[in-house]
Amino acid sequence: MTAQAPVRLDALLARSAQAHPDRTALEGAGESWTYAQLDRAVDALAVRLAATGVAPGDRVGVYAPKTPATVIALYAALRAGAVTAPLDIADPPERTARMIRNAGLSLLVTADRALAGAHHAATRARDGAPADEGALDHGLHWLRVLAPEDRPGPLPAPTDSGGYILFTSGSTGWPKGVLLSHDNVAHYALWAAGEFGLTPDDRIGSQAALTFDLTTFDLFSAAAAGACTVLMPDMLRAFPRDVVGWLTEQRITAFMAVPSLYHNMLQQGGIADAPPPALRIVAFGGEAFAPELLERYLRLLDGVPFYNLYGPTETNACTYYRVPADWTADQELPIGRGIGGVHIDVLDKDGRPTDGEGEIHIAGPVVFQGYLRGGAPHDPTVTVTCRDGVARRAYASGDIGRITPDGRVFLRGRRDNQVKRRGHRIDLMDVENAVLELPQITTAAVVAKDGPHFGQIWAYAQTEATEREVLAALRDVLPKRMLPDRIVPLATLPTTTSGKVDRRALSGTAGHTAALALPEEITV
Amino acid sequence: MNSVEELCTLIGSRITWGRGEDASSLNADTPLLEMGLVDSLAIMEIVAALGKEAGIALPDTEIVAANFRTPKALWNAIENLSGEGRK
Repeated sequence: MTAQAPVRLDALLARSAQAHPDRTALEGAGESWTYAQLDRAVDALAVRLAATGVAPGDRVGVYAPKTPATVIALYAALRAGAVTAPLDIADPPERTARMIRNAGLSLLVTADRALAGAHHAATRARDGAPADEGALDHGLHWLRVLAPEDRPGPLPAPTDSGGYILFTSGSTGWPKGVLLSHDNVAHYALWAAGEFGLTPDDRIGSQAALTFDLTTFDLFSAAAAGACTVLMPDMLRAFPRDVVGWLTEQRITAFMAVPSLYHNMLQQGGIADAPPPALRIVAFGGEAFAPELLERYLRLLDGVPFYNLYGPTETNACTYYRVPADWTADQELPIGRGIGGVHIDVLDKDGRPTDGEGEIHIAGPVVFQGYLRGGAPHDPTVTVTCRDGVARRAYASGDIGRITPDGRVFLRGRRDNQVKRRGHRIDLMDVENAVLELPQITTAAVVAKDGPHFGQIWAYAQTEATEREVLAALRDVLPKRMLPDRIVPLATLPTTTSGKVDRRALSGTAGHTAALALPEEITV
Repeated sequence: MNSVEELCTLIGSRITWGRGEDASSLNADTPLLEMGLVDSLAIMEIVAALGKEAGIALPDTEIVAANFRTPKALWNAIENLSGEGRK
C-alpha cells in the first residue's frame, strides 16, 4: 500500500466500477447510483469540465449542498485533473470569497439551490465583477472566477495533476487551504478500508459537511472497498434522535463522526433504547470522547469495535486506537499509534525525541503538500530526526503529547490559540481578526474561557456598538460555529505590565476576574 | 404561550441575525431549517427557553427535524403535547 505507485482518488471509483458495476455506490436525496452509473456520470461531467476550460492542476471549488450530484461534481473535477475544494454553502459569502482567493480557485461548480450564493461569493472574490456561468448536467452549473490568463502559477508535482483542498481556520482571518495530493488522501482511505474490513456489503453513513476532513472516509474508503456511501440529509444533523432513526432505517454498518454527536445520540437521541442493528464499525475523531459515555457505548453496542482516530486536516487521520471491549472510564484513552506507513514522534522544544511531553510530529505519505495562501503553496513541514535515527519530512502538529516505548500516543493539549468546537478547529486569532476588521471596533481580544464558562469563546471589545450589533456584523463574515458566545463591550482592555493585552485575565485563569464581572442580563 | 406569533418571537430571539435581517421577518411558515436559521445550538436554546419562559417541557422524543421545519410545526407539536396532558 505504501511506496507503490500513487493512487488517484477517482481511480478508486473506476476500479470499483470495474469490479462491482452493479453494486450501489451512492444513495441520497431519494436517489440511488450503482458504481457503473456513477463512474459514467463522472466521466461525462469530467469531459464537460475540460471543455469548459478546466486543465490539470487548475483549482476548482464545489459549492453545493450535500447531494449525489455534488459527489459526482467532486469526482468529475478530480478526474479532470483539478485540485478540488469542497466548499460549504452555509458559510458567509465573504468567507467563501476569501477561500476562493487564498486557494486560487479558477472555477466553481455549483447547484441550482446554491447558485445565488455562489454568485455572491464569486463576485466578492472578483472585486465586484459578476462571474460568467453555464449549465451542466444534474442541475449543476459552472461559474468562472478567473480567466485562463489570470490563473495562479502551476502547482508543483504531484498536485500539478490534481489533488484535494480542505480549509482550516488560520491565525490571519483568512481560511488556509490545506493542499493534499491524491495519494495523501488515498493512503488514509485505503488504510481505513483495510483496517475496518470494509466490503461491498457495507453501508457507510455520511453525516458531516463535505468540507470536514472526516468525510474523506465516507467517500473514498467506500470507493476503495466497493461499499455504498449513504448521504444523510443535512437537516437531520442538528437532531440526534433523527440521526439515530436514520442510522437504523438506512441499515448503516460503518459510521464516523465527532464525539459531540455520539454524546448527543446517547443523551438525547435515545440510541440506548434502540441501537441501530446493522452498525458494526464506530469511529470517532476531532475531539475527546467523554470517558463515561464511551464506556456506556462499549456496553451498549457490545462487540462493535470503537476506533479513536486522530489527525489534523494537514495529515488526514494519522493515528488510531481500537478501544478494547473491556475499557473503562478510569483509564486514559490514547490516540494510539500511526496508521500504516506513518511515523509519529514526540519532540522536545529543541527538536529532539523525548519520552516526556512534547510536540507531536507526523511523517509519512499522509502529510500534506502545503498551505495555499494568495494562490501559492507554502510548505511548513520540517525535517526532523526521529528516535530511530532516520530523518523525515514532518508536520509539526501544534498538539502536545507523550509517546510510550511501544508507540502509543497520548494527547495533552495545544501549543497555540487553537480550540475545538464539535471537532472543528478554530483559531482564536481568526475570530479576533474578524472582530478587529469591523469598523465599529477600536480594539479587541478573543479568548477561550476557563472556569464556569469553560469551552466558550468570548470577545472583549472596545466599542460603542451593542453586543447584538457586533454579533450581527460577525454573522456576515464568520461561519456560525466560529461566532463568539458573548461579546463584552469594555472601556479598555486589561494589559500586562509589558503593555500587552492580558489574555489570561480575560480568559479567567488568573483568578482576578472580579473586575471583569458581567451584568447577568447580558446573554446571547 | 398562547399563539404561534408568541412562539415566533421566542424563536426569533434565539437566532443570531445577520445585518439587514431581523426577527420581524419570521412568520409561522418560515422554513427554519432549509434557510439555515437555526443550528444545533439555537435548537437547544429554543428548547431551554420554552421551558423557562413558557413552562413547556419538550421531551427529547419531540426534538426532531419534523417539529422544527417551521414555527408552525413546532406550535403543532406543543399543542399536541398539551392536548395529551389534558387527557
